[in-house]
Amino acid sequence: MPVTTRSGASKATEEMPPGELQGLVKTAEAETKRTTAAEGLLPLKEKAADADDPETATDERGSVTPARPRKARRDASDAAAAAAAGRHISSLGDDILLEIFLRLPSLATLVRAAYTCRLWRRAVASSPAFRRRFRASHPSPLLGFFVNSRNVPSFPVFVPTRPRDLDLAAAVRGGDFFLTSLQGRPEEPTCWKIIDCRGGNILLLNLADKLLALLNPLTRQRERILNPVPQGVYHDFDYNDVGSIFCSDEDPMSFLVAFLAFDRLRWRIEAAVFASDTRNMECLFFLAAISM
Amino acid sequence: MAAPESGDGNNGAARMVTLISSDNTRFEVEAAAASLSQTLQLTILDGGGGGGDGIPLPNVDSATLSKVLEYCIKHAPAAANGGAPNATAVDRAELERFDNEFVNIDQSVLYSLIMAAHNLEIEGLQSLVAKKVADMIKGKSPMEIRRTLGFPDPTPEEQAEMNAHMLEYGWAYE
Repeated sequence: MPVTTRSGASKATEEMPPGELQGLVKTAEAETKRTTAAEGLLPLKEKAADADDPETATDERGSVTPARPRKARRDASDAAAAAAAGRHISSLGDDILLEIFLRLPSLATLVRAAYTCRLWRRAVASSPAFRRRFRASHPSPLLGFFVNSRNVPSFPVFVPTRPRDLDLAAAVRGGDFFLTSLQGRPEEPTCWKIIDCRGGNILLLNLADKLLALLNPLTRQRERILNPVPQGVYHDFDYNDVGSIFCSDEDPMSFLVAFLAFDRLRWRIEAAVFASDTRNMECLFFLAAISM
Repeated sequence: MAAPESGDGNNGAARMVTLISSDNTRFEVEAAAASLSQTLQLTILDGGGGGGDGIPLPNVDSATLSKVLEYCIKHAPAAANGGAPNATAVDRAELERFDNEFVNIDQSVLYSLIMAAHNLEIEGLQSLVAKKVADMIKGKSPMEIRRTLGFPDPTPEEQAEMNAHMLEYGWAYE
């Protein structure tokens, strides 16, 4: 199953220290309002006109207004103030900055750029529209494949695609693609098989112990054991059992795991859903019996 | 503003417009070149900028404006062809060479160009300068980016945040 770095994408840009995040709420709201009309960034004129925004007020961002000389004079004094304040790439406004970030070649370069300074991180964190555009223009690179093993004890094997890109090589090197975090649970036998792989997450099923585990090899600590699969629901695990991960691009910590199993005793399909927000494995419904 | 020019550019001779920089230098340039700027295009279509009347650009100084116009003049013929379906590979290669050379400049000049390109809404130039800065950022760690772009040294707090980040996002760092 292909593994991509997608989930790290949103995570890296989404996750901010709690204090930082709170301070951002207002900015983020304003940004969302501004960007709902057009997916992209707004023309400078509108932002410069936003007198409530302290950043734009001191910046040289007045538009060229040849038809309105009075406004032009005001802009000229703005420009003079900006020149005194320092005209430097580090002082570029969010909209221009994000246009630059959009041209970065990969997610890893964006992650590093965003952490260059607080203003830059805030620019990325406060603009969902930017992150949508970045995702759209930067498809997830393929890092490698997991191959399920039929041997017992079984453990999925990872085969990297050996990307030439240094950042991708670093991602493979830095991630837990050998799934050692599962290995670190000695109480559980090593009989894992991967049943889904999406958005950087992999969903594993432990055949012996009837456990489901969700983990993101890139972020390592994100292992979560959906423990245990409700008793009495799955009488008989089967290699044909299917599970799926549904995850959000914007919030990788928010996901849904759906698991379908075939109950041989009662001849019916059973479904269970685990939602990350309730943190409960719920048996939502039973489908009607299958007539053969 | 000025009355519309007679002929409006249809009579063979290229119509000229005058642009006035923030330091009151006057630049006379073909309307087709100036019209690469979305902002100026509207004024020019309305007949502005001709004759003794110039278009004041209070946010662009003469050094920057002359650089911007150099770009516009070079790119105007290709833009007039509307995506230039008949442009030869040689023409395109020449434009690319010009672009590369064009942004091979000091950061302070680059900054002025970025601001001017955005103020004047010159799409091609906006894209060119943004790509240039992106090229300066890529392949570098946050500290290297700071040094390259002349940021002040990080405060101890900022430094701690950067270190913590590097630990957590090891995959994004070589």
